[in-house]
Amino acid sequence: MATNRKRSLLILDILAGLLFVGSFTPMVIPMGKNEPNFMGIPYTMWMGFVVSVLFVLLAYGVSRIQKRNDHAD
Amino acid sequence: MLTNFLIASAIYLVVLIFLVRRTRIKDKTTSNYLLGGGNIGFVMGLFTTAATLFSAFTVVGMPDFFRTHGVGAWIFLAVSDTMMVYGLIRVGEILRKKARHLDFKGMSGLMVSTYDSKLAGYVAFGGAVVFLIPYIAVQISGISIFLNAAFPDVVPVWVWSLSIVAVMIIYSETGGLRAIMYNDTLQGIMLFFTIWIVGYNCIEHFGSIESMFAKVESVNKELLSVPGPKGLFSAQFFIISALAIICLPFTQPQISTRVVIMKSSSSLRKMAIGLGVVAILVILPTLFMGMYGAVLYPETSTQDFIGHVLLHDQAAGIAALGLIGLVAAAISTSDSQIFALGSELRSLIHIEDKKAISITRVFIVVFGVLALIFSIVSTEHLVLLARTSFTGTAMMAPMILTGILSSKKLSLLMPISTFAALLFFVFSKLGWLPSSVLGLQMELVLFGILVLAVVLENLVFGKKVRS
Repeated sequence: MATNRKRSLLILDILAGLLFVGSFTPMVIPMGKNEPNFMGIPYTMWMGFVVSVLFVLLAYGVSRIQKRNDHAD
Repeated sequence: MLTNFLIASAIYLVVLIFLVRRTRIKDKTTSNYLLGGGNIGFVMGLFTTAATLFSAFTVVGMPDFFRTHGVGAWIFLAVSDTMMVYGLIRVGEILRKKARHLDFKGMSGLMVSTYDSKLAGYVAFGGAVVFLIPYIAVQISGISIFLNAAFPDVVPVWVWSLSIVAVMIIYSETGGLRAIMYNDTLQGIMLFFTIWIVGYNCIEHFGSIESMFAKVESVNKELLSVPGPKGLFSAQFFIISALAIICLPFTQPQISTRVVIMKSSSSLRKMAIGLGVVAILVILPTLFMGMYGAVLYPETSTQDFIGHVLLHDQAAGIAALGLIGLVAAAISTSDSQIFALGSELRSLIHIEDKKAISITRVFIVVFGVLALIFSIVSTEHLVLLARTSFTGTAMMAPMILTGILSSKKLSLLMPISTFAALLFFVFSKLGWLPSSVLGLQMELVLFGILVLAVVLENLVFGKKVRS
């Protein structure tokens, strides 16, 4: 059980690391390009919004896994 | 307008007096006065941390950032804030464990314990003082200048500054951290609703979000992509900002204290997730305000633009609420920071608790007065330190995180290299040292060296296991 939790946390950490690196590449911030837009919203804006939501979801994932862990209380 | 503002201010002050009476502590101790008695639930934890984090800068600076530099401002703050939430939820729990184990009073004191050296504590405390006091001063001065512009010839600028600092000090001195957290909650709710009303009005001006961006494109297409019209948003800029913001919960004592005093791990987790959601919801309306400004007020000064978007273009009631929300935001961020500096000092003093609290309370007044003086005689150098406040305190992150995460007996490598990095950083900002090395900005170079020091500390210097 503890090993599973550790593995799940490692997967989330790897995903967060990849998302962190990806956020600073042309995948999210292409220089001088605002296409393709989504419902009129420029690319970097909607992609940035998606990245923000993904980080919150990853954090939520960690919180679900940590829920049953031993903690400071 | 002045009448509305005075009525709103009077109501705000009455609420503050009510809160301070409710939270007043007769027998002040480190636990109940400086640490709010611990036991902070998820809702209050969320609002107090959010209010501390989202200062007047968010209300004034972010719309202006969007207006001037375009949509890349979202990556600069919103994406970095949600990255911070991930870091907080991963490391926050370990900080709480260590803090409980080592009788946490402040991050500086914790560093003394983990490094078994006073130098580590002095570096953490010195770094906080050097960067936070100018930040507080510039924030107070900014709001005072804005109030003076909104109500010219009512009172001089310094009277506005004095009033803000007086409210801040009296409130903090009387009620302690718990009173500050109640104020934060009040301010957070007020600010949240105000900026959403203003943001909604900005969209309504264009009819829809789609037509808003279409109009911005016709005015200045460069605002819709990075690096923005002035070329500010480079990948290096984003990385430095992200590193500084991710480290905030550990390098800014007002936030780390809130992490430690949360009631339970479950409350911390809910608070962290809530903080991510609030970050998105708070920054989103500032995007609308910024795009509105980019179309209607592209060439005006920051002060004029904010004056229009927050005051003159709004109904009188909303404008008054906006203004008082702005003052409240400045107060809640600044009093948390001044109070945190007091707590940091307390954590370095090893004398009887009552005496230590008395000394701390004197220094909270001293820090407040210093911030007031600096806000009145704001110099170019102070503004520079304030502007680089987050990046500056981030230089302490490798030392602080090593102290929190390592279970080894640590050497003095990290405190010494952090002290040197802080000096290099300030000197480079002052122009006494180059601002970049081989095309890399000095902040990244210093951060890289500090990460190397962390590796050396773990592999070479800190081998003995703590008994």
